Amino acid sequence: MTIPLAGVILIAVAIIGGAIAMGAFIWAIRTKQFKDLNTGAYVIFDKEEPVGEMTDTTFGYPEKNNPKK
Amino acid sequence: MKSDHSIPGTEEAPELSYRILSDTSSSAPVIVFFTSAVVWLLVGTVFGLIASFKFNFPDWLGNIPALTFGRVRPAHLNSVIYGWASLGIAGLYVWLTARLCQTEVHWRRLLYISAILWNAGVLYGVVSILGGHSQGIEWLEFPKGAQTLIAMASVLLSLSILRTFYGRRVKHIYVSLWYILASVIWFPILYVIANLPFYSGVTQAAVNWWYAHNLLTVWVTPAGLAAAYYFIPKVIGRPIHSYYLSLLGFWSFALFYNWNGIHHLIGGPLPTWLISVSIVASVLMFIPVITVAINHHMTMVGHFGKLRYSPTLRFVVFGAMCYTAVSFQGSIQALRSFNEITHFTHYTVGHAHLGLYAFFTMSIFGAIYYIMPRLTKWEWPYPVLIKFHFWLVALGITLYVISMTVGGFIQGLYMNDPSHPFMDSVQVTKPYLMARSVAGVVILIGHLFFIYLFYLMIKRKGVKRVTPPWYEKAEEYVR
Repeated sequence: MTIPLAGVILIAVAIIGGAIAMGAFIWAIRTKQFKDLNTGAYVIFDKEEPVGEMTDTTFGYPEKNNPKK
Repeated sequence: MKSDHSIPGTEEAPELSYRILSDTSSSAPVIVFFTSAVVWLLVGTVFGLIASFKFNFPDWLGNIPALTFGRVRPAHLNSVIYGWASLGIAGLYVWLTARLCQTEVHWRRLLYISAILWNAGVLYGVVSILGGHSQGIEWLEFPKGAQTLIAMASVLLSLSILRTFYGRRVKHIYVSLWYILASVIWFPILYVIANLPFYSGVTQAAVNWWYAHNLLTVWVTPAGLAAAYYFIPKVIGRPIHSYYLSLLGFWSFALFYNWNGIHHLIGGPLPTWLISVSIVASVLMFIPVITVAINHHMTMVGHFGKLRYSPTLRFVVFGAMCYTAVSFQGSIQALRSFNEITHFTHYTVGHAHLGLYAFFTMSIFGAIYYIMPRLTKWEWPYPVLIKFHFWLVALGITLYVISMTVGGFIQGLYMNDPSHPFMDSVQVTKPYLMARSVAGVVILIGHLFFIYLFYLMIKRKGVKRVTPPWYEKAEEYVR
């Protein structure tokens, strides 16, 4: 039985693809992406846009949260 | 976590500077992507509406070959997927990657070339479809030339985003960035493989649906989720409820979702195991979907009042809720017993729009409402028009999905009942199809409000509103 060229290419791509995904996962563990998950969630905040402050108030400021105060 | 993101001359506020840096460097390419996306949104909506009216008035425009149903319908699908959705995703990814990597956009020239090639590809493809030169394979109708242009454009986009990622100034990869990376690595590979000239017959059908569903897996859904995971916490000012769950969600998503495509071919002439594997994977999708649903809901709990103040939050939360709905619906729909009824009916069309419109498009609207003011340093004029936009499209799509779901289900029951002639299953859908056209008109009106607002934003026209203090600071830094 001969395997057609298309099959060879697609199987190769599938193996390489799986390897990329596994590689990314192992890399993530190695670089400690899954350590200290609590601080990870805070990476999108900073001094200027801290936790507790809205960053989109196009319809008006909430009383409690007015950054203009 | 801790990183050094100061740039020369802005040492006094290093924390602010990275946002200014990333937003100013992403500004021009993102505006180019979003503007072309919005143009394709209008084109796609008009094609969709023409196709919808043809169900109500079958003879309408029937004597113009380019506007017959068989051409207008794929023109609608392709212009919204490869035009609106893809270019919107490109803009979102460029902006969000730069922000999450806390750095500037690298290789911007590639992005401009990518935008030109992408638009040229979609234009060439849509015109070819209207001219009768479709390849006749759903989601892959574009002729080879158009597909080559889009493939090249997607490679350039991915290269620029990966280069920006390589130049990142943060150690931690935020969950949205995981979705973006997976997306930009896989989309070009997927698109090229699906377009190789190898396939025929049953293999072609399998590749076709493997591709079409994976386009949602690696391109559309990650974009919507990346937006939700960034904008919900960012807008309300509260970190994700469970960051652990969000990462579990990402990896289980990556593991299960790419097997789903073959559930489109239930009952088709494929090996049964292939279809069964796909159904099992579709049901396993409950795991990532539930993690996302829990996370977004628990993040919002106690903060629903903030929907009053933020258009972004309204659109993104609407989208996130519909993500849960469409995914649950999809998993159930993949079961053979249920699929027996809904296959080949309008139910599927309702499902597709719940996913691509109520979830994805609403999320991208939310993202655009957040991103544009930060690029043009101009607050959205006329908030009341934003409210019109939101309510028109939200009500429109709700009517759309309900009419297609109910109508399609009844249609399926009629088709399965041998005591009814086939024409009964057609007749019974007529009121639902009329409701669909009404919904389409409402959505189009909503889009016109949005397009007008978008035009004002680019031109910095309309009333000058008091901008939040962070814009004013931003302007100082830009100068």
